[in-house]
Amino acid sequence: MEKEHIVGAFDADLDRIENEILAMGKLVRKQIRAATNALIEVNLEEVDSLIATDREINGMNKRINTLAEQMIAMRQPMALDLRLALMATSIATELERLGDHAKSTAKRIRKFSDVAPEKKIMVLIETMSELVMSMLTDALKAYKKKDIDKAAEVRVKDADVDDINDKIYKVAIKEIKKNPEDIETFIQLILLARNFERAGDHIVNIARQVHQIVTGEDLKASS
Amino acid sequence: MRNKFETENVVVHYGTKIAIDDISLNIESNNITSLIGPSGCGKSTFLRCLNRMNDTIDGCAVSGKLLLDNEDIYSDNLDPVDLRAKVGMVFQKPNPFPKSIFENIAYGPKIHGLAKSKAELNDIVLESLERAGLIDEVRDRLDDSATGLSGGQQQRICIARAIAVNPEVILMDEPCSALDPIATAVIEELLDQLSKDFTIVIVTHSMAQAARVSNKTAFFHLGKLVEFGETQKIFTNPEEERTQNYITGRIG
Repeated sequence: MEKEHIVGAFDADLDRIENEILAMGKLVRKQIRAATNALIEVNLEEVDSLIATDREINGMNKRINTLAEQMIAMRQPMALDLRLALMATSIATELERLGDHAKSTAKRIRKFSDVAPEKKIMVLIETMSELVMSMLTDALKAYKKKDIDKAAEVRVKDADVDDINDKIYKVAIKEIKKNPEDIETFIQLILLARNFERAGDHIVNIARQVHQIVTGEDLKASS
Repeated sequence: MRNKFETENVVVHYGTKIAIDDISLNIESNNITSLIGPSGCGKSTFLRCLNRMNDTIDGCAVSGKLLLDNEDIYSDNLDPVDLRAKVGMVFQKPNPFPKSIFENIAYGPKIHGLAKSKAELNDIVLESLERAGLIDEVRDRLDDSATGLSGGQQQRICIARAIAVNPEVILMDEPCSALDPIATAVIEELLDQLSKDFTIVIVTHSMAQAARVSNKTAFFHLGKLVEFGETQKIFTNPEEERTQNYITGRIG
C-alpha cells in the first residue's frame, strides 16, 4: 500500500512477508533452471543437491505461513492488508508446488541415465521451461508491483505452455507407434512435459491471487 | 428493508464551527448501523441529532431534513421528551442513577406513566432486565444500589433503563469503551438479540466492534460522510480510498 501505516511495525511485518515471498519465488525459479539444465546435460550429480534445495523451499513455505498467521493474530489486518496476509499463504503454497515439479523433473533425470533423451522433444521441453520461468518472473513482478495488467499477461501466456505440452504428447505417441520398444522413455518424456504444464498452472494461480489481492475479486470463482 | 430514519443534507454548526457538513444517510429499521471515523469526524454529533440531544448545547444549529418514520424530528410540534422515549440512548460511561437497581429501571416508565399498577411496573422492570440479559445476575438484589454493580452490569442497567420506556430506537455512543473485553462481548451478544426488536445506531471507536456487530457501516471523516454500505463490504473491499486508509490504519 502506498500510504504508510500509523504503526511502522505493521508495515514492517507486511514487507517481511512480501520479501519472503519474493525470495522464495527467486529460489524456485533458480531451481527450475537448475533442474532443466541438469536434465538437458543428464547430470546425475546434480539430483541430490536439487532435492536438498526443495527441502529449503518447503521450509520457506512453512515460514511464510507462520508469518502470515502471526500477522493476522497480532495485528488484525483489514481489507487489502488482510488479503496480502491471506494470499501470502496461497502464493507460498503455489511456489512450493512449483518446487515439487522441479524436484520431480530432477528425479526423472535418473531414468535417462542410460538412454539418450529424444532430441526433438528435449528442445520442446527446454522451450517450455523457458516459458514457465518467464511466466514466474512476470508473476513475481506483478506481485511486487501489485500490477493486475501484468498478472493478466501471465494468465494468457499459459496457453503457449499448454500448446507445447500437446505437441510433445503428439510427437511422443507417434514415436511410440514407430518404436514400441522405446515406450518407457517416451512416457517419461510425456510425464516430464506434464511437470512443466502443471508448473504453468500454478503460476497462473499466483497471477490470479495477485489480482485478488488488488481487487478483492476471486477469478477462480468467476471463471 | 424499511428506513427508520431518513436524513438529507444535514448540516450542524457549533457556533461558527461546522461539525457535520451536508450528510445524507438513511438508517434501516431493525438493523444495527455503525458510525465510525476518527475523533472530531462528526459521528457523535450526527447520532445526537437523531434524538435531539444537541438541543441542550449552546450555539448548536441543525439544518437539513431529519425524519423518523417520515416525521420531522426537528418539528416545533414534536416534544423532545416524547422523541427521546422513542429514541433511547446509552452513553460511553455507564451512568446509572444513584438509586436501587429496581428504581433505575422503574424511573422512566413511572414518569411516562407506562404502568397502571405496581404489579405492572414490576413486570416492566423484570422484563427490561431480562431483555438486557441482566436478570439472572440481579434477581435477588433488586433493592441494592445500581452503582455497586460492575461496569458491564451498569451498562446493561442503562440498556434496560432505555428499553423500559418501550423505545423503537436505541442510540449508543461508544457503549463499550469503558468495559473489559468480556463485558464488551456480553453487550455485543445483547445487541444482536436487541436488533430483532429495535433499530440500533452505534458510534464506536473500535473498528473491529463495528465489523462484528453491525449490518451497515458509515464512515465519517472531517464532518463528511465518506462511505456508507454493507459492513462486510466496508471492511473487506471499500469503494473509497479514504475508507481503505482509515480501516487499515493509515489515517488517524
